[in-house]
Amino acid sequence: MDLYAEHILEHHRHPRHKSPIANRTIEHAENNPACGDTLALELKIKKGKIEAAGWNGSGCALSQAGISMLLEKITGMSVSDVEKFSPKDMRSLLGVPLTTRRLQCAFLPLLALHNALRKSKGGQTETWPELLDQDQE
Amino acid sequence: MALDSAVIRRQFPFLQERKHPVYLDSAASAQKPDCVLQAMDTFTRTRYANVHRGLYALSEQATDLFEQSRNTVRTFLRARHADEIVFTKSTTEALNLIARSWGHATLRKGDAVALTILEHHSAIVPWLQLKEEKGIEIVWIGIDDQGNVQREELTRALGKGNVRLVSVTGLSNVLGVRPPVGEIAAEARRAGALVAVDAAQWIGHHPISVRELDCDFLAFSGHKPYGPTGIGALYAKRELLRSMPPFLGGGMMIREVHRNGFTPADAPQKFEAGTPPVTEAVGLKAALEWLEAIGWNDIESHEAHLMRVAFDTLRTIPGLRILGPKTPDGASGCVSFVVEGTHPHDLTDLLGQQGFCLRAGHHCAQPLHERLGIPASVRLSVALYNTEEEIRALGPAIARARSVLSK
Ligand SMILES: Cc1ncc(COP(=O)(O)O)c(C=O)c1O
Repeated sequence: MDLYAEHILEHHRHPRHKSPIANRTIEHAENNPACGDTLALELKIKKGKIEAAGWNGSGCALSQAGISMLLEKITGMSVSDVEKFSPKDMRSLLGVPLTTRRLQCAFLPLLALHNALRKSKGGQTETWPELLDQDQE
Repeated sequence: MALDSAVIRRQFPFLQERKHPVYLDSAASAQKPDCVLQAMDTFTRTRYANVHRGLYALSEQATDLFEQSRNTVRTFLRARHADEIVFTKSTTEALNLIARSWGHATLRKGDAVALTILEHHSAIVPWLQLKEEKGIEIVWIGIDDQGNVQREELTRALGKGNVRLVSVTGLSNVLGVRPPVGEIAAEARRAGALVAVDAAQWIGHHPISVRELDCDFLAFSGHKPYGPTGIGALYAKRELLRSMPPFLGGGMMIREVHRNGFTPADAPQKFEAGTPPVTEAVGLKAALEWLEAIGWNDIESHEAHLMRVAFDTLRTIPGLRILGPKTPDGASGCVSFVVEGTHPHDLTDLLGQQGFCLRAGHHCAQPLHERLGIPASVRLSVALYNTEEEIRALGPAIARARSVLSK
């Protein structure tokens, strides 16, 4: 299957959660050093659960579809489960073959999510190499 | 047109591969002709030794070749003296050398460096580092919508009296525009400022004469004018190099070293610490000689034709907007564009699948993209081995890519 599969294009054309959310508890933005695209993420965390999620930004079909699918997936999940969401999970969520040149597009949503959660706990943010390392594991 | 592109193409092993893509990314790095590869291969196989070290014949010959390469660069740039040419790793290292050596030694808090908004990150970041370190000021010189440098902004900046250096690209790696470097240098000189020219793109497309420009510094990389990676050069006026402190410390850059101090060698060795890229110098020499042998008239007319074809082709595509120059005579070497509703990454990925190599992104010119109001663009760049047919074929390929994204 190719990168521009129907489900990717569908999310790209009709992105979910692409709006600000009320009473957000964290905001965090990350960018793709390869192209400068930025992705801003907002979460509302209550009682250890992701109650609502929203995003904004411009980017390629892959990163846009990725954040759309990711937020659809994690809304309602517990923070402790979402923290465990790995590059491998992101790959299966996207469900298309990834080549090296598009890894940063594919994982930008995940980096933004990881770091939003780390930020909410006052922890140190994850770097690109750290994230890509987990993909090797 | 005098240039026979079949003859040129035959000299590139890359183009002899049975299934080679259409390479329209020479602004990032150019493919290499046989003569460059052979010169490096022969040197490595049969003539190889370190330079400036052994007293045996082999090392002496390698040193001679290395110094001949320096002289080829001198001739190519029309510099007066071979010792005004410092070999570096790249344009990036050459531009850093200016900031780290000259800038670090002479600039004080309150001094300013003027940069055009067209600059590549390698001409920006070293000065931003000095801004952090010493509190120097960075003054940005803007452009109009066609990419022309706003000369009155430069005049105003120079009028303040604290600008010590103006750094300007000789050819924008995004818009393909060529700022009037000679005029800018003359104006800067009248205001007591030095001029550094980023010739990374310029070097492979048009002749350069540092003597005519009367610039103080000029930097380029070997891999864009059909030579190898790992080598570049900095031209600087002799008196300047004499006054500048070394950039890296190590072997070859010293006259003597004692337990409590050292005296540096004379330029250019003062700036060439460690074993230099000898093989690459041999390749660079071959590349520059190859270009000179083809001749600038033929190079310029072939590439001007390709640019006209590129503009013609791109203009027929609905929703495509060319950035900067409105006509092909305003652009050289490359043209960048955006396509409505299509992210540059997606477009170039899909073009890649159809066998076209184009670059997407901010092309290491983020301040310029900010000025243009877009995060990224697609760049088509041309070289001697490209043909009209290759560029024309891009039109339908872009249309096919768009239909995938909007299906
Ligand atoms: C205008 C310009 N300046 C500087 C550079 C940096 O060259 P290099 O990466 O070879 O150091 C490039 C190439 O990427 C360029 O196009």
